[in-house]
Amino acid sequence: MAPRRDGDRHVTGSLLELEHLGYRYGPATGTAPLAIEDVSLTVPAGSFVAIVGPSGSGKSTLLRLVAGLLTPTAGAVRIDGAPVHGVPADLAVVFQDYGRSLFPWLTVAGNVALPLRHLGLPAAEREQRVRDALGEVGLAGAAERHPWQLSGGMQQRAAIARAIAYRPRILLMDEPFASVDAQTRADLQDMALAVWRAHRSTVLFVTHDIDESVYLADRVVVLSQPPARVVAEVAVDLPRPRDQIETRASASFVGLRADVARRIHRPAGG
Amino acid sequence: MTARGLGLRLSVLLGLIAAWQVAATLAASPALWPPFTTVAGRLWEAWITDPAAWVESIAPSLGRLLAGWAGAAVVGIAAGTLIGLNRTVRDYLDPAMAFLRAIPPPVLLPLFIVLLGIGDAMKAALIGFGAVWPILLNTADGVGSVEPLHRDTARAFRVPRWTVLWRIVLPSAAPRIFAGLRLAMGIAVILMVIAEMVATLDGVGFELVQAQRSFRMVDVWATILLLGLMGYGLNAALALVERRVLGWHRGATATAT
Repeated sequence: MAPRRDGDRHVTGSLLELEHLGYRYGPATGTAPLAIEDVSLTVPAGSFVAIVGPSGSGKSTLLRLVAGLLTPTAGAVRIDGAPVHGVPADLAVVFQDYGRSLFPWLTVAGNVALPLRHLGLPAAEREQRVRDALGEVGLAGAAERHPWQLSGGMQQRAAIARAIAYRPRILLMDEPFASVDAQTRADLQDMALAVWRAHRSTVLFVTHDIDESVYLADRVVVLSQPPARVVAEVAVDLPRPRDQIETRASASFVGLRADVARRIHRPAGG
Repeated sequence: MTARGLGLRLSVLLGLIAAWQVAATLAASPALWPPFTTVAGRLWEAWITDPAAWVESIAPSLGRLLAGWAGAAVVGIAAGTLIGLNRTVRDYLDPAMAFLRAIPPPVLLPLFIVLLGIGDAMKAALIGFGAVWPILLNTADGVGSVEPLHRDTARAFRVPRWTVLWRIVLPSAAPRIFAGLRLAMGIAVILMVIAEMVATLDGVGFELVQAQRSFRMVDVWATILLLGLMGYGLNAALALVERRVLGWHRGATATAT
């Protein structure tokens, strides 16, 4: 993979492709509502792509299709060009609802270690990965505590540690910071960027927060009102590393944010 | 529980005992209704401090009870897991289970005596039959209502089926399973006594009937007190295990509110 440079939009190789993806609730041939009409998307290896859209636009459904938790009723998901059936290997998900995603009967370390059990790693390496991941998200001291003993932000850090210890090539994040307070959200955003940079993974990040999408991503994909289509793709050429104060105050950030907002609210006028 | 709460609860129990003592003394009919001190004294000398009573009565009773209860736990948790995991199995078995559950276990006693004799196997089977339902149904409910996002998380990380069963499904069903085990323990004590009163040559229930038939009322009272203590002790032991195993559940539900 070519080294990522500031503003580099041409990272080689498209790792993940969505081809005319469609999803209808209930039986495929029914009159059930169409959640996703036709979404095509290419995610280059090593990129950070954000998906935004109005609430109820099927963003989370789209992420579940990519994760293999739902089966598309039309189109296909491809990884490295090969169509995916079921849950792909090398993929991890961070859900919005950390409280329900973490297992309350396991410690934080136990939660991070659980998905590693079936990878056939030697015990020592498994423990090392757990320690490293917890250190990376700043939870080294909370390894033996239970999720419910932690604040919401710390719980989501634990969920992120669980994902990165798994060493996925593709990291899916489904509105991961939607239910934490603003200051915690800013901290978690910077942590997510640090993790992405350190692991050179590919991130698909769903959010309803326009600022967040522009702050984090290389590219923002705007979805329409349901049934979801891609309304626009906005390239974000803000320099990295990004900074909560500097980046958000820059004229280009403000311009991009307005651009994305306009496409969400008045897609026809885009 | 605070010290004050404990004191309040104990005061009710002590009050009841005192009322018994006073009423029995006033009734002045020690043959039929002995005062508490007489009964407690008999409990102490004829049961608690008499090694023969432990070997000949209490041990056989506890053995049957625990064999029946443990058998019910194994069958109930295994079958409940299968039923909880599989909608189709559940739909097929529901009517049969509803019917079997509706049969009061004591009415099976004559049938079991004919089929299995009056030995320990019959009693354990009767206890097991009565105790299995709350375990089975609670396990099925617990296993069937695993948090969907827990399942999705396991699927997204491609956690293998067995790991999901042992490390996700059963732990998340554990609070319900323990509720079933506790209900089953209560049923097991009742069925043990009934089986021993009808068909046996030893055990606490047998001694109770013997005492009644020879008009030893103090022994009848003492045996009732003993059975109460046994039930209470078994429940307390189970609660202790539950507290250790389900520490996370108490913590998680306390913080969720």
